[in-house]
Amino acid sequence: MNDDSHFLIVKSVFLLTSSVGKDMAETLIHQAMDHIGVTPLTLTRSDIVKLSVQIEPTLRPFVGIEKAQRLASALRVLVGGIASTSIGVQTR
Amino acid sequence: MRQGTDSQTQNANYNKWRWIVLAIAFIPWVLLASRPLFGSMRSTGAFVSFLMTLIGMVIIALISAVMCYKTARQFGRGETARWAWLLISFFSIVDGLMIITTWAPNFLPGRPLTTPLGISSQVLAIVARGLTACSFLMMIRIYQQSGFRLKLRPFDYCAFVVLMAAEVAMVMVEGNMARISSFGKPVLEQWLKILLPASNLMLVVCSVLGILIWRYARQMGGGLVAKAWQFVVLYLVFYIIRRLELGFFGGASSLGLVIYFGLGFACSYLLYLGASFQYEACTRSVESSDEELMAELSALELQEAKL
Repeated sequence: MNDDSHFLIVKSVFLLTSSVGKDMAETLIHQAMDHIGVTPLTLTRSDIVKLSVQIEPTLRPFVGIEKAQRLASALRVLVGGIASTSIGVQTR
Repeated sequence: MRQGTDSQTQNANYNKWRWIVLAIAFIPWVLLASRPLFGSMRSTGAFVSFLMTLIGMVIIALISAVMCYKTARQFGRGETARWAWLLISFFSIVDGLMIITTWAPNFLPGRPLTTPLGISSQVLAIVARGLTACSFLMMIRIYQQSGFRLKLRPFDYCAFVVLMAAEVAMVMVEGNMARISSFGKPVLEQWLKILLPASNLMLVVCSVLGILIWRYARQMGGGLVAKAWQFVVLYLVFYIIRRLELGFFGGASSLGLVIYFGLGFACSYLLYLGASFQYEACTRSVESSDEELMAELSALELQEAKL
């Protein structure tokens, strides 16, 4: 695993940890990565948008629709590095 | 920086409400515990303190139900988690009703309504427990669908054994419970003797599913959702202990009553905490600045390095 992909995963897990816990966050992120066809070794910053789209519905049963949306957009903004204005969604 | 301050204010608000509800639960119980200070058990002061405790207990059960309802509304219509929290809310409302029908006849002796009220509340309790078992089952389905694997540990098997022993003890004291709740009305006592086994059977199902939820929550590795469901399961455990206490000691002694109501308040407060943590998980703001996230990450790394 290269440093960048490792850091992306750690950052993504950390973002979800306070809500769903570390182990559940890891499970959900790894599942989402499986679905979009990337591995922890090949994950890049550009995959984060697809990852966030994939992870949003799986978060809903745990944190509700609104928070799932906010977490997904926070993933795009804080982990993927996409400006919040460009995707039209706020993190709050 | 402002975002951070907002987040702190938000956290303070969640905690503030938890303390307020704790005070609402604690004050009436202190009143009851200090009942002997008001003179004899049959004095007006003691009677009023008992009435206040009863009202307090119903209020706290309703507050918990409202919190569960508020939490349920955070989930989309038709979503499983929404149903799960709605059904738990119903359980808490029925618990409030059960407290009224179990103890209120003390204040309305000889009223003809006692029998139909007692029977209907018991039937409702059976339905509510069945629905709570369904809500636990729904939550287990959510965990399964998320790809999370359940790994039971020796502690869970021990918990199964202890809870089953508690259920057996509850079956043994069913007659006593029926006698206490019937206020000397033979028809009601007969009905309760028929309904209580079904009611206890539902509690057995809830306990088994509760242990599975507890394990799933423990495996999540922290987080507000795990905290919420752990408190819900603790609520169920305290609920069972409260029922047992009623069966074994009844309202026979002052100490028995103090313990019973203490358990009752603790029980409802635990449910409130569960719902409140789930509500916090649904509404708390996300760390919204990169600097904040980086700071948290480096703090975490530092912590891990220390470990």
